[in-house]
Amino acid sequence: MTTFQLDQCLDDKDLARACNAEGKCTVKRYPERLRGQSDKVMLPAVFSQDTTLVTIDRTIIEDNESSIVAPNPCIIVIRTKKPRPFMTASLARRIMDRFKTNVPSWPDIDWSMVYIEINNEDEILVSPLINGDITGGRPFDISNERLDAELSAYIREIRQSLKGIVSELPT
Amino acid sequence: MNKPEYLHNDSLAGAVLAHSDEEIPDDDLDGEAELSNLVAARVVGPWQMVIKSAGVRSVRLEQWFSECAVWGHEALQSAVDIDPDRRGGTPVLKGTRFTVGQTLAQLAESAGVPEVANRFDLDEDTIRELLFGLALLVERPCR
Repeated sequence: MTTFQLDQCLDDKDLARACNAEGKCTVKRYPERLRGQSDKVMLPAVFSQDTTLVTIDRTIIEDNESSIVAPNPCIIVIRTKKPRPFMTASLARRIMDRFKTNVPSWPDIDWSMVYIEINNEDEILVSPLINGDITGGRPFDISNERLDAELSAYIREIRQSLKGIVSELPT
Repeated sequence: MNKPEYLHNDSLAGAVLAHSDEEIPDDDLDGEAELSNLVAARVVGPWQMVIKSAGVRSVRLEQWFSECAVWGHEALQSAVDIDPDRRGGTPVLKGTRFTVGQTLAQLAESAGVPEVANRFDLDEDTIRELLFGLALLVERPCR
């Protein structure tokens, strides 16, 4: 079962409880020891636990290119496309629920070394996550009927392409 | 939080008020009007008196708004961190990765400070200090 780590900006008790109640993954709340720590401390600590970071920090990659090491467990950014509506935990939860409904195989996908950005206008960006460069990603439309199959296939493609680069990548 | 005394003693506003020949009691508007009338009638012409009293009032208001700004900044300093290595330098609640903007947005859709503090394990007093600081900073006219 995949373990997801909530960033402190999304560390909502209700969200964690609801996700854990589904029983499809484990959601961890933000650890006390990392409160107020810099990104450069937080990211390696989360990566070392092999947990996927879920955040609403839209600039986390750009701000921390040097901290994005390979291999890594994945970063999921939930964001709004425009400044309004302002991102809140409840909006993030609605966006995640929509994603989970449209990608029913999400609990079975190996997300490691992948960057995913999901916004409130049904757009998803998926990219390999190697060194903070996410410009080579591919966009998906959440309302696409074949989203689940196409997304899974693209992630397999990413993993295949990374095998030569990251030797520790699990198969 | 200590009252910023220097505003009373050393600032231009404090100096003007402290050394004004026509010292006007803070809380006595009738006395102020009476004194103004007396001075206007006996010492200066009516237009000069209008300009003079407007000047004193303006200095007083400026002193008030300066104090608001000082107290507001002080409140924000105790409630907010700005660290380029945390959230890319976006202002966050002290000791957290929770942005000020997000705090306000969460408050907007909540029943209040205790709910947000409880949901996200944040310090209630820090959120209140943030709100008081912002309240003090925006409480001023546009001119």
